[in-house]
Amino acid sequence: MLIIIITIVLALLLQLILPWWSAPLVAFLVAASFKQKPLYAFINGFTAIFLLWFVVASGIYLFNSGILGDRLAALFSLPYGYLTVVVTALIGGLAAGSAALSGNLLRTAIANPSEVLEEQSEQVNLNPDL
Amino acid sequence: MNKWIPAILSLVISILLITALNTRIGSIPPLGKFLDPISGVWRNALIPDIPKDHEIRLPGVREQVRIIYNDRGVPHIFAENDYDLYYAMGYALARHRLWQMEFSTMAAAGRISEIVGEIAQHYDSHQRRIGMTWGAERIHEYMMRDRQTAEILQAYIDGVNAWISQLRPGTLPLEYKLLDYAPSAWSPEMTAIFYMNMNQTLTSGTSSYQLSTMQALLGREITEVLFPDFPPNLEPIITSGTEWPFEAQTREPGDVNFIPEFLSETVTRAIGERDAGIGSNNWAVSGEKTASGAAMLATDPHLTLSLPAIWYEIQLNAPGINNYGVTLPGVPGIIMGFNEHISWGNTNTGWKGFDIFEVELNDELTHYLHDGLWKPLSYRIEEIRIRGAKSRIDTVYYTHHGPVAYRAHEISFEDDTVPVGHAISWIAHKSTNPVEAFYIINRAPDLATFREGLSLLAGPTQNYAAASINGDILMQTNGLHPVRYTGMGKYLLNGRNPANDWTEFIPFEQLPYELNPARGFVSSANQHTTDEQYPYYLGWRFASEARGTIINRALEQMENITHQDMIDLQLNSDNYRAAQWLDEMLDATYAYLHTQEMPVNSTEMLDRLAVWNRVNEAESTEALVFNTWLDETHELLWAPLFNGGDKFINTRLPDITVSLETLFGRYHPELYAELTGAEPDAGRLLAQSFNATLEHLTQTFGEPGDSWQWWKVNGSSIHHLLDIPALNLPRLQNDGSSESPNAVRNNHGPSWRMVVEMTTPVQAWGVYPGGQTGNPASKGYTAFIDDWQQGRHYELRKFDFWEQAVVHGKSAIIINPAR
Repeated sequence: MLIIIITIVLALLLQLILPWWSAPLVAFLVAASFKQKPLYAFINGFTAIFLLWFVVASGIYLFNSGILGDRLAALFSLPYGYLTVVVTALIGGLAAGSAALSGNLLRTAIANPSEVLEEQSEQVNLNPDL
Repeated sequence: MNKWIPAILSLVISILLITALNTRIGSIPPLGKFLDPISGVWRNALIPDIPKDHEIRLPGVREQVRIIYNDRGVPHIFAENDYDLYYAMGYALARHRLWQMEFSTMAAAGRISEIVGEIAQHYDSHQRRIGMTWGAERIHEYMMRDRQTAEILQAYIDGVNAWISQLRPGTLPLEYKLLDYAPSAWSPEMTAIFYMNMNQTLTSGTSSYQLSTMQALLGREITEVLFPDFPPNLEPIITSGTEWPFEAQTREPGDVNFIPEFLSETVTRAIGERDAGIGSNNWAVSGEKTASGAAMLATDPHLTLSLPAIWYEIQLNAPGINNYGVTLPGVPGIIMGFNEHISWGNTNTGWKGFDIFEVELNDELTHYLHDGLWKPLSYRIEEIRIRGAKSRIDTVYYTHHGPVAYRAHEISFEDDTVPVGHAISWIAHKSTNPVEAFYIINRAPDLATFREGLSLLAGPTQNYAAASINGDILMQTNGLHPVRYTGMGKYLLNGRNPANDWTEFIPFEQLPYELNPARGFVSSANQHTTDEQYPYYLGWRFASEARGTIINRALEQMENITHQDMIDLQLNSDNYRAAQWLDEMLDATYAYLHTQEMPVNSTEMLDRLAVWNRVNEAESTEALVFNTWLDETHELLWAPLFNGGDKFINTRLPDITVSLETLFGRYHPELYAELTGAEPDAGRLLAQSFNATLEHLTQTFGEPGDSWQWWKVNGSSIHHLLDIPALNLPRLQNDGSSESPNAVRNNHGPSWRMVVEMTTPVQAWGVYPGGQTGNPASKGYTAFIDDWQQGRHYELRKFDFWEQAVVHGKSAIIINPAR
């Protein structure tokens, strides 16, 4: 949970000044800094940016009364405007999850074998909800 | 060590994925970048249609400038000097329409490949071939010679660029994100190319290719009868019988029976008839006919409707100018509108300054044949930059006529207009200063000054209706009209013979013109400008008399006119053809049916037509049936002429009036008999085409019933400039037809309806289909569509001073000079 929150906060801040790829970049860096199982790293990275993009896009969708959502749905041949919010979040999540996995695997590769054991025990504490 | 393998593999996949999501692939935008809710497309939904109150400092501004927005997003600019005025105008236009401004100039200049890649290269090349960039350079060079114009252009550019420079990736207009590119700085050349754009839209139409084909098929004499210079039922713009108190310049005819070599060859290939031209209405009535006693003006230019809308509403207020109206995004000044003294609106002249000459080049492409001599050919290298590929270099050759669009044996991009092996003479290539012209027009205190401004405009060639506070009403043709021998330019011209060259132009003072005519109104609807008494040859191909006749009969009868009457006339959707010919068509059809065994599968439908109100109403089944019937009859009548002929030949059908009069034996019946072997049998032809009509409509819409509605084939379909379905509007259910004053027809229609009453103060009403903002993510993008469709005009409030604007405005931007 903490990893997700850290990722969301850092990604939001960085995205205000950097292009969209700063979101997966943050996911990568966070995953490289914390010990997790590779699958959890992916899920946490994915979840963080999925949530961030989903919440922001949903907010705009509602504020805009769905005008843009409907146009985007027509652009991507989706049946409902709201699905564009989901597609948006999925794309962000996928890029971030993949980056987070890379961060995690890279960390494992760099780290020495003794750390691998610690990583597994720590994992439980960091992600009690997963 | 093997832990590195999954790590590196995963990293490579991640980088590839992110790169892919950051790249435009085919027509798919870079998905990650595009959908990013922070600075991607979602961000555009947060851009307000009307900016909030704020104060800013901008470099270049000389004194404080104030822009107040009304509740529809119309900026009212209050400046202390001309520089600041046009600076703020550029700034305001860029805020709402930056993408449109830039895209339309790039499209005009043949630079679309820079945005979309190789698929646009032939389009781009065509634009260069007809001399768009060449003409723009000439106009630019000519405009910059005038110090005041140069300053206005600089001010406008500085304003646009001030807006561009504060944009960040997140605040770029939506289309830039969709196509993944960024705006470049505005320049005076771009405004010049915009004027070329106007000319291309309005003055590049010609049917000389079609007419030469007809001449090759039928001979000159018959072609002249079928395509007369002055058709039956003529309803000219300038009152018939007007006398012209001047000695016209004359010239010797060139080779009038000329048929270009390529048409004499057996293999001719071109495509079908071009769509009927773009039309418009405008009229002005004198105070004697109005309820208020003040003169009144109405204008509604019919253009290809698009989103973002063609027009942009604005008020310009500075010392010497207080003008309200509409402008075209990209040009300084107001194109149609009113100040406290005059109001004006323009319609296109039916005949255009665009002639096509067959030219003979030598094999080395160094010389061309003219006047029996080989004269040097000049050339221009055009570099077409292509996104994601190497630039393409194209050479365009120039004769004294103008550019050789396509050399013999090349493939023409638009092969229905300009055949290969021909050069173009086009008024758009002539030096002109539209900035200065509209500078004078916008400030004109009277119609004499207005005419002075108009005289500076080489093109587009239009008919300007104007009304003044003094009660004067005016109709004035403007622009360059070559002095032509009769028939010159109606057919393709022989470019070798100097007798066909463009030499002189009709002096402005001798152009068709009418001030306060006895009938109490002036009006134009793209029909013939004058009757046969006008001493110059103005061409033959004008809009039909339909709209002009409806408007003129209405204006003749009207008394105590109010502005609502003018609006109602703009929305008039009468069917002229039905009013004139339906009874006769029905009589002939019934008479024929009585003599025949053959039953019409629906006499019921004929009966319905008999009692129809003859208005092109959106839901009307009769309008759908009648208009389709008319088209079918038109085709069927002339079918014998083209039987056995090559379908692909670029032919043309005689106009509807000539056709209907031929059908009923009133127009050269002997000629029809000679051509087809028998005089037209109206009853049989009409019955046959009526059956064909019902058959076609049943195929398209099913059995006759509620699904048979006129709007389904004619209602407005307004598309985004990129014609991406997601940004287009669905077809609107509106009344009208191309031959009604309410000239709605698919993607064409009234692009700006305005009515101005010249009281003190001047009152005005207007509406256009679209919205002030060009942002497709916002509600404002289509804000006026419903009201436009329903024919509701907004009151156009021109504020005379700042304090008045503040009371009625919604928000204000105060621009101060940067220190």
